[in-house]
Amino acid sequence: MNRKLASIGVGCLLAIATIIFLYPLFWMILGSFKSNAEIFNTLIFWPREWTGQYYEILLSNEFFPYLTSLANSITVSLSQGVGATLLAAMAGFVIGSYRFRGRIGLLALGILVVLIPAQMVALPLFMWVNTLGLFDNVFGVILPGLVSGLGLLFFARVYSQLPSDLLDVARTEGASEFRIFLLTLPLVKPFLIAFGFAHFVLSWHAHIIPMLVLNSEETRTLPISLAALYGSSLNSPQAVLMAGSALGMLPLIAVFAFAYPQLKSALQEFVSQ
Amino acid sequence: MQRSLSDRNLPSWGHVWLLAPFFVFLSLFWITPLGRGLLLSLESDTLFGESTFVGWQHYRDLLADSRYWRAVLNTAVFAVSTITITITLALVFAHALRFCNRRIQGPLVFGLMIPGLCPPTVLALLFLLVFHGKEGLLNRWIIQPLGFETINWLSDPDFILSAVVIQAVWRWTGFMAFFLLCALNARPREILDAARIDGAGVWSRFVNVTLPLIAPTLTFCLIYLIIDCFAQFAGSYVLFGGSGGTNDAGLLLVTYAYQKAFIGGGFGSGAAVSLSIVPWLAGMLILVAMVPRNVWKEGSTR
Repeated sequence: MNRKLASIGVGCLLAIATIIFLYPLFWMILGSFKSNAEIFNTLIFWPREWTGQYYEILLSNEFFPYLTSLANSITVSLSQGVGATLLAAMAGFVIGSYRFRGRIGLLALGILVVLIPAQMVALPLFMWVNTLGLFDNVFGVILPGLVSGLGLLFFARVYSQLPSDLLDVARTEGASEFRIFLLTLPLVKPFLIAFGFAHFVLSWHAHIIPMLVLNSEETRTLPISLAALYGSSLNSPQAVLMAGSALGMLPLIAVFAFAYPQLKSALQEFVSQ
Repeated sequence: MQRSLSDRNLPSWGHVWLLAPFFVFLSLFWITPLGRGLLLSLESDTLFGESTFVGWQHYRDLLADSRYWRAVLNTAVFAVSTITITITLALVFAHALRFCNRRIQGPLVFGLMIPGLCPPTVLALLFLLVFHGKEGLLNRWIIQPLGFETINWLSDPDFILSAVVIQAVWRWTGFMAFFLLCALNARPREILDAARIDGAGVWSRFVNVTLPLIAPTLTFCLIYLIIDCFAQFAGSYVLFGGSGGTNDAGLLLVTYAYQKAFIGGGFGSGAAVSLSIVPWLAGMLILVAMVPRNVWKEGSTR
């Protein structure tokens, strides 16, 4: 009985903590209906009158082409999420389930990639992307984002835990290595989704490289467009920014809701190995 | 365990094809820029025309550059305080989550993780509310009721860095709590029960049993946060518009590299700043990777 009471108490405390954590987001959503004066006065929680005009302004492209930016973000993050997962899973499959000469060297290279994240080579990377003629092109952002050292290490570990019997059976049947890799995919599905989700979110958040590479309004990703608007003037209606940010959270939350159950089972399995 | 290849064999062609895409992209978009950055950092800061080879000059300049050391110190303070607060909070949350009803556990974790989805740019916008001059939430609900003077979080040099820290903590606590919750759930029951029967107290059980068991996950969280802190750019960029804030009190290493290269026009010295982060980062990571081996040795022999 005591334990039950304590459990309810802890639950309530946690619920309060969660509300505190989510409060800024509520404020953002409500803020997208407020005028500047109301936004800067933190005592006003509910907007005086609900108006959708800021969403209309946002979608009318008065400040920047919102839907284009949103679409760019979705394109970049989706292709990076799927692409990086595939590349890392392919390489991780070989490194994790076979022993061969040079394997440790490849793993060490993976660790080195984790150690030196893209932000630190942003400047030479930017120059290199320019040389390749990908300046102001979404591919200049997507292609560098397909490499994830963390992904390589993650899948090498996932595949090293996979029972080898299955691979051996497939090999005696004469299946090619690529076919065997395809056969393993359903077995590691939660891991694929967990990593793909994490990489999707990270590439959505990426700032310095998209900011350098994507120059025109038509190619910018959403965070860059929002930051540009934020930096341009504090007199422009802040509600438009809030509206843009709030709408921009929707794809992320949708992907998260889809990935969450898989994320949980993947992590549970990963840490208990 | 039966593997069909031994350590001495070269990978077969089938394997090479599977490995190739990753490593081709790696050499194109990581090794090449890295090498180019190294070369760049050894050249003079000429924006137009031929640049000359200056050797380690930029690195030597950095050692004498007080702004650089300010940035190193700020980044270190930022990383250490963010990580300490985030991991402590996350451990508390993870334990509390295990304690509460299963049915509300899911929604709570989900809600706590949502801040982690917020792009840093959106975050900076939100934190206008929290940090804003006199009227901000922190001032109105915490600082004023405690009887302190209101703090101008974004321009008072003593508090600028804490604004960046609070932002990072808010963002990552939920995710870390989720990782640690999974690790806590994966602890073998028998070991916990055995410790309880032996009469170990709550604290002693946590230090001697739980901590060693979740050490790998904890190490992962630490590494993740360290890298994120050292590569931190977006949050401070939006809060301070690419500057270091008043008196450089919020100047971080990546921001400094950005300033040198794109505002100062010194590509060579900018590249040198970026690359000088690597030894700092590597040092921190090696430190973290060493700790579990020495301190948490006992529990790892399960």
